[in-house]
Amino acid sequence: MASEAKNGQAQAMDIGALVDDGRVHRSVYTDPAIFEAEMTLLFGRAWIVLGHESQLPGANDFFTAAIGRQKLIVTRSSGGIAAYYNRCTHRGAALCVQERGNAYRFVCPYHGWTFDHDGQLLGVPAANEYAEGFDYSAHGLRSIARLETYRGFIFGNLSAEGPDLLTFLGPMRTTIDDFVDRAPEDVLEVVGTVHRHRYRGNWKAQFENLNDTVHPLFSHASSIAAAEAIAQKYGDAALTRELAIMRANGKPMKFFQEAQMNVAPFGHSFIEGHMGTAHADPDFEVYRNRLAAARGSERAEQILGVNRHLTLLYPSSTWQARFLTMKIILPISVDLTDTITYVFRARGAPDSLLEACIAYANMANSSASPIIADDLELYERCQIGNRVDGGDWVSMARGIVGDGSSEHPSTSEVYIRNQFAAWAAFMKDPM
Amino acid sequence: MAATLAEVQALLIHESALLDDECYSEWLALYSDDATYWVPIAPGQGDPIHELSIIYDTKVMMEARTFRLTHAKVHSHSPPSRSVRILSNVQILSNPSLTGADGYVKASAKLIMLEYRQNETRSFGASVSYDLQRGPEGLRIRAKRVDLINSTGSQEMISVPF
Repeated sequence: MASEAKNGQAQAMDIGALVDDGRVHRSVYTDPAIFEAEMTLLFGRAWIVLGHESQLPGANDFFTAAIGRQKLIVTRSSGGIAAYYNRCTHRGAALCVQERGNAYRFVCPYHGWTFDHDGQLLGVPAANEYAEGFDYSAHGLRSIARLETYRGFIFGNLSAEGPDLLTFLGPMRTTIDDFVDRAPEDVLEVVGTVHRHRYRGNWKAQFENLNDTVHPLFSHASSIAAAEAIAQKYGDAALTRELAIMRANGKPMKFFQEAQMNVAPFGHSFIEGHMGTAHADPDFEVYRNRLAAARGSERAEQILGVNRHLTLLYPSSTWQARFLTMKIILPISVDLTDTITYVFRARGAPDSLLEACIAYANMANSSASPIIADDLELYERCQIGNRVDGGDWVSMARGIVGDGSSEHPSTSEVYIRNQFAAWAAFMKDPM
Repeated sequence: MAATLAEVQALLIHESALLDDECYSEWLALYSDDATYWVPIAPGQGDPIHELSIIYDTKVMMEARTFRLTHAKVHSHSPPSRSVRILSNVQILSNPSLTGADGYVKASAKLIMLEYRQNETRSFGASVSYDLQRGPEGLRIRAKRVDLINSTGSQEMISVPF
């Protein structure tokens, strides 16, 4: 099967055998050769979010990022934001091991090779010991093939070929618009702290879980019950923002069946919101008024009324505009995945909006969250179970009878089928 | 009345023992009603409201968290882990001369927690700081802050309090 793949390329016929109607072969989660192929064929060609321009506020700022397993340095060059492979061109040392910083020049700690923010090599020690005319221009930092930004968000692509960013985003660009439109001053600023959680499972497990509206009643039974117990004991008014989020997972199945699931080309999807459109806090009116002053009342109401829960931008990230939270999913190996969660301050909005976003982001992304701990456990159980021969196929057939329609209940697994359609298209297409 | 080192040590060790034994009701009773329990992300983090944290709980959230740990369907804690906490290097940083709400006893300690689950033991190390308050029943915890040495790193699922 795909374990016979050479040079990281899986045979087209093998991929066809792995993705079937409403099911996938379990090896897509467990086979290291398939993971290698994903790094080359999928992460090597899809647009991957790297970060946000507010992570580079000042001259000479940089941060490190990743596409697949490629480690990158992101900084401002004379021609705009640039992303370089994080590798000194001398002996290959990683240039930056900090997550972020400020550097007038990038200086390799090994022999002092020095690069500027355009990636140009400026100086090497003992230059006279090289063959005539040491070619500085041949030893610049290597840029990734393409980098584009959309409304302040930075995306990278390791391949020079393929659709541009806007084509790739398709209707998901409206989610990014949703983020920025919520700032009365049209500017988002990344918050300094980030969440990082990790699980011993495949990166696709997270993409398959986050728009799943059937699992909460079962996976999150313990946190739903905990929130309900507090409400019983102290009254509904005692529920903090965090407890209200825990409780919201307990909505009946019928509610989720009536909410809509939307899918788009390239594997993306989003579901309708289920946490209400208005932030339940006293400063919401202040926020609403500021947004109305900036954009007009009608437009402000439109913006505040966009009721989208999570947007999954395949294969890189998840986006929650109401709470200005964006999470990047980082594949480390076939059975190890990291994530980084960013929260944004909307410039011009009152502090209470950020407070609500922080409370949401803690509850939705901390590995200590009573909600997330159970998701991480289940990703790991799927990895363990899929390694044994208790069946070859993983079912993703829920709601498949409705696939011909343009509307889908949020309980349909159509978004997973959509992800694998995109996956198969990338994996079958040789470089 | 100021607190003695022995008294503070006894309280903190008692707290650790209750957590080791998963005696959550008794553990919650050590905390005042307006208590906070904070596990920051950034070293020296000053703000739990406008910055992210691994945990930032008020008392009611602490109660919900512990309720969950004993629920029949707590998947990340089934089977439950076993943990042991070594609390050491207890110091009193400041000690008000007045009782009650007029001042807190500020104390610090170092914590190593080992947790065993599913054939693996993992370890956590932290500097812990406390605001303690003297009430009619003795010293109680008004605030606990756990600065994990790996707070900025990738965290695997965390279930039990530190």
